Amino acid sequence: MQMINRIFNELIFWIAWIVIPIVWEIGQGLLTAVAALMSRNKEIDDNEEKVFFPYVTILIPVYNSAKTLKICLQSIVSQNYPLDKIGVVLIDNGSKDDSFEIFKNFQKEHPHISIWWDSSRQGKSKALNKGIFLSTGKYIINIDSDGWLDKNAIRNVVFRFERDNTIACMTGVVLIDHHLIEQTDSKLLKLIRKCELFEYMESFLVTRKIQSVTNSLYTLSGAFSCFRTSILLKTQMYNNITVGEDTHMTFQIKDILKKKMVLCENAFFYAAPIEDFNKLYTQRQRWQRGEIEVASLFTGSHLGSLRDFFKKPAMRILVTDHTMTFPRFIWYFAMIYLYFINYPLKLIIGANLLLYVLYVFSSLIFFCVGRVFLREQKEMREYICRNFMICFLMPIYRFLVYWIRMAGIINSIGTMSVWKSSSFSEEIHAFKNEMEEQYYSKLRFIKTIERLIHHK
Amino acid sequence: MAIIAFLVWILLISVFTKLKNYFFKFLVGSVGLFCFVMYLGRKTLVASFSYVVAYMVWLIGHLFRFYSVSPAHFVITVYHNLEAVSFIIDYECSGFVEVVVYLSCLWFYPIYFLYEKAVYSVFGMVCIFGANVLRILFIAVVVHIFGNQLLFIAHTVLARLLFFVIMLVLYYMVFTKPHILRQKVGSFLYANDK
Repeated sequence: MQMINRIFNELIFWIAWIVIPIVWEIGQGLLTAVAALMSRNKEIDDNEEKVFFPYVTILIPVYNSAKTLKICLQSIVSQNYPLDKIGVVLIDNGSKDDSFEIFKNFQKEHPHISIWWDSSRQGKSKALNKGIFLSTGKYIINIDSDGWLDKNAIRNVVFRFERDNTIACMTGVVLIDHHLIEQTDSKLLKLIRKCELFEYMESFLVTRKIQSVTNSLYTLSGAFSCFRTSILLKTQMYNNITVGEDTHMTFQIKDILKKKMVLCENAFFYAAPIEDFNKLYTQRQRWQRGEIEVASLFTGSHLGSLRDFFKKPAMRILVTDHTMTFPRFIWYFAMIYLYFINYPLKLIIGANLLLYVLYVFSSLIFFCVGRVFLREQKEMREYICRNFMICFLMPIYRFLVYWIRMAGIINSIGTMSVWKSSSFSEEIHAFKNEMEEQYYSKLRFIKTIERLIHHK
Repeated sequence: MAIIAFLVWILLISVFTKLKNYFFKFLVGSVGLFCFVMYLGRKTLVASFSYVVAYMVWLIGHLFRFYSVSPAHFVITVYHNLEAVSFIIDYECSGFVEVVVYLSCLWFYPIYFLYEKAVYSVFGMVCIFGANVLRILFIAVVVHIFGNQLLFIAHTVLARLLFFVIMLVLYYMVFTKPHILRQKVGSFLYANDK
């Protein structure tokens, strides 16, 4: 009994540093989940028949997209929306593969749909800006070329716009294409991709859902965002000096134009899964950097006093993503400290297990919420249900992403802004080379001298 | 063994500096610094830190007189009616771990110049000491007013929460806010740019 008491008391001390952030994260998550579920019925009641279908322009920036472009375009042709009311603008920004051939063949095969090709200088934001000026639709929908739209996506987005005139822009739900996950050969990569799918599900159907309800969306996803053209033309267009151009656009509309933006939770886009760990490493660092850059450009929304913390949603996100990462270090550092003060191993393992269970619990809650919102997406819903065990791996995945985002924070300070920063493999390779060139060769030289001396 | 570890640490830091790999330099640098300070100062510094905190609480105690402190033994005795409740300022209340973690992060955080790091080191240590003193005073006030039965909640939950909020504000002021204000935006490069 004494032992149990001691373990309990010590656990309380050591996990205090991590429990508070976790309560913060999980508490927020649970509240969000409940709020998302409660707001669900109010939002999804869009089955009424519409007779008016406004003209819509779909912008697709293309950059070396030969592998995925056809599927993307095919999904537009398969839309449950009159095709004569859809215009597609492809803006190439420096592709070196056969993307143009894919476009040409597609145009021949589908002469009934308006589809244009244009070129811009390299950069997604430049491509999008050019596309905006070429658009003629009442609404502009931006999608990435590495995924495909669900057949009801455009219909649901347009109906939502038409129903509520106050909505200036929307983000659709972006999920990972499970067919591509299943085609993955490597077991480890397949697991990472499944975790990525669950992460997207949480991010869109739980986090963004509640942000949408409170009109505090932080980022309109670059992979699938929709705008009223009239509103988009009032902005300063996509910013090409930051890697977070989608977040920047969100803040322009939210903070400068003071317009309403929501999540369209019944419009789905399926993106290609992450290529490999290196891509995850660079992508997440870029996202982190984008967030910091936008915070720097919109300091009024992100910085403030302690009182502003409760008033400014963007400040809360910044504190969670930036400030809280440092106190979390305390826990990871403290584990090393435990060794020095001869802590029982059982205690350390016990504390970590407890934390792990808490994180799994939160993932299971998010899974349940996601499942509710995926009612119309039967195939995807079945897939996530079959793979619900991924919830038990999510704490490991989150831990991995935490370190990558930490790298993003630190690297954003010293390095130039680049779309594709050094991958993990490249960094390891550079480190090995440096050690080999600078130190190992010297060590070998000294050993050779020593051998010669001994030989003599 | 410690000397070899120290040399390897210096070597790794110099390699990462040369490679301009800021994250790994930060990671290896701050973890290494933490380990060395812990290894070298865990016996002497914890006691010194506890003494400083106890002494500060003792000084403030002269103003209120509802508790007494024995700084040499790190013991605080709080009076509630006719009861007296004593508790010890241990390694947790000393704030030693928090100070070392804070300094380790700060000294390898690439946003500051050397003199700024020195200034923020002093500032941070004062804040952490202050937060610890406040935490102990908070527990003392709660015990003085409500007695022994609230000691556990005051110590385990409320005081830690108070300390955590102060630490969060400190980290926000030192790590987040200057980063956002000093972040360079622009000179954007794509893969094909030269």
